[in-house]
Amino acid sequence: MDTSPASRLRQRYARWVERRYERLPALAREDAVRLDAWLSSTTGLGVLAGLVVLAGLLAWALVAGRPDKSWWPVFGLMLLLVFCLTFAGLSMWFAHGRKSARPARIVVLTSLGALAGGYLGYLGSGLWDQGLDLARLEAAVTRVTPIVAPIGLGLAGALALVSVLRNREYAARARVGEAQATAERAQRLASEAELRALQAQIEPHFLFNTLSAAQYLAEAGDPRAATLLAELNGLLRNTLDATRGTDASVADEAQRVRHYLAICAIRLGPRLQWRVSIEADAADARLPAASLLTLVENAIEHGIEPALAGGRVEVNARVESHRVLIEVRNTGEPPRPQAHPGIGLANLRERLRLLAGPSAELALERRGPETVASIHIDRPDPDAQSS
Amino acid sequence: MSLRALIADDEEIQRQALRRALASEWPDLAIVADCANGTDAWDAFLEHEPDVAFLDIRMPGLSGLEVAQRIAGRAQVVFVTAYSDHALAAFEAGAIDYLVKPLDPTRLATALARLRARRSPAPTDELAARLERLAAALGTPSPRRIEVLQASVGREIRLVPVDEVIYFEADARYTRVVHRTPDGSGSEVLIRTPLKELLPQLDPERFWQIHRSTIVAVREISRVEREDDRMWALLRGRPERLAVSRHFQGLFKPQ
Repeated sequence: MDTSPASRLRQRYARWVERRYERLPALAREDAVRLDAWLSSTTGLGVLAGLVVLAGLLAWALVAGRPDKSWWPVFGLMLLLVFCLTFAGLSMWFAHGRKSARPARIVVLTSLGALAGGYLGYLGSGLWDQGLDLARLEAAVTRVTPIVAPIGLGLAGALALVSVLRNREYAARARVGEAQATAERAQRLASEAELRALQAQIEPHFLFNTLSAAQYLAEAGDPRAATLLAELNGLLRNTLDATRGTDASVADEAQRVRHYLAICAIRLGPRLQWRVSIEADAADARLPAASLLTLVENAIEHGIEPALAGGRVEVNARVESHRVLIEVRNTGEPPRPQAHPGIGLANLRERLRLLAGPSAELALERRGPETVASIHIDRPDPDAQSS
Repeated sequence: MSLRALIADDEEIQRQALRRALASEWPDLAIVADCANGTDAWDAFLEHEPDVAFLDIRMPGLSGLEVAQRIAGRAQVVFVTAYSDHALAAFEAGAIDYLVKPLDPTRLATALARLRARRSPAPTDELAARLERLAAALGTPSPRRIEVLQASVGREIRLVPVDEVIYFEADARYTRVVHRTPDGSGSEVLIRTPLKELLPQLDPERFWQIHRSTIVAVREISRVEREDDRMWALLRGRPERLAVSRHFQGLFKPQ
């Protein structure tokens, strides 16, 4: 493990800088991290060295041929200037979207700053031997302006350019990011909508038949009207809850099925007997939302309703050889071969496997006088239910 | 003379609701039959010959649509259905009378007024075509066909392939099945399934109902004879003369 002072310093810097980066917007953070990496690379270090050399060259150019000026203070000033400009550029880069990064403002402020600096520098450098008077002020303006103004304007222009390029790049990247986010959201919404459509289990035919029965019973003063409406209320509420999640516990699913069967029992009268029994150790297993209702609806629609004498629907959930077994049995008409065999069933099987893994099974078979739809899933791991 | 009606719905509550609504909107309509499934409805139609039939679409045995196809214009048919976009569009497109559950008094009154104004049902052929289109639009499942009959005779169960059946005849709560035997002679067994429940399980191309209590294999009929307004079907190589009731005489028409 590398424990050299340099690497320890780098780690410490990384920790320090991380907290600051967290406050940056995502795009700027990305750039900052990249810049960090670049600065600590050979190229980055090379560029830093280059800047120092540049400052040295500038100082040499100013001092050369003027033996009365000493070289070191000028070098120091040039170093300061070069790094100030570099950091000004960088801060422009990271100041995206702020007032200070507007090009016009940059040009004006940088130019004025350069001029003010030039004047102050000129006046300051002569303060000791020549004092300060109106003539000096005039000289500062006339002698400094022609040199500093173009330099200042040039620098300001460069900074403004950095800012403009940056803003443009930033906007382009933000657009791409936004488009991606929108696409992802659209996709998510589409799959959610699909799911909800699947879960919109209460078909209008059932709903209106039930309302029709409730309306008549109420008009006739039959007390079953209240029961029917209470069960319908329970079913709708439960189903609405189910549309908020993709899966539900066996206990919740069983509750929904009880409401549904209670409604069917009132409507079909003696043609339907039913029973739902859920053993405690199977109650927590997860099923795709409304899947049990789908199986029970099928039992009613294809088993009991077409049978002249009706029949019996039984829903059981229990644990059998370490797996949860859920069964919907009916004694009505056997399932008939259809033009599109079991699209609903295939769909349900896929949802079940998505939720409970490839070992989950869904089968529909005729056993003697009964049609049995059965779901096998692995028993939920009790340790996994920490939340 | 007041009109007579049949109502059929597999839910008793819905039948009561319809009865109640009809009683208030059409007080002099006499309800002569109240049926809990399609097979009963068809049987009751043959028995009572009502002028109007109110039929639920989804019923066990025969669907409302199948009953309407059998009634074939011999009575005004009004379908009674719970709301569903799909079905309503099909009814509208087919110019077929229908009522929507829950029943709305205003709309019920309009529908009944239209029904009373119309003296006779649509011509049979056109009606058949309309019902055919409706059946296609509603996507009714293909009916289940029976292939072998099982009859207990003494201590054994005898299997009779439907192909060997000559005719079925209602016999109190049983059905008498007259069938061919391998040696060419005939035999008969009794089965427990009532004739009306057997009917939906037989291929209507191969088996014709010729009377409320008789279904006969078409290929076994050699000819029919008329006597005034009565008709008899004669069988190949058998002495029976089977009565063809008025409702079914239309099945026999020279080409």
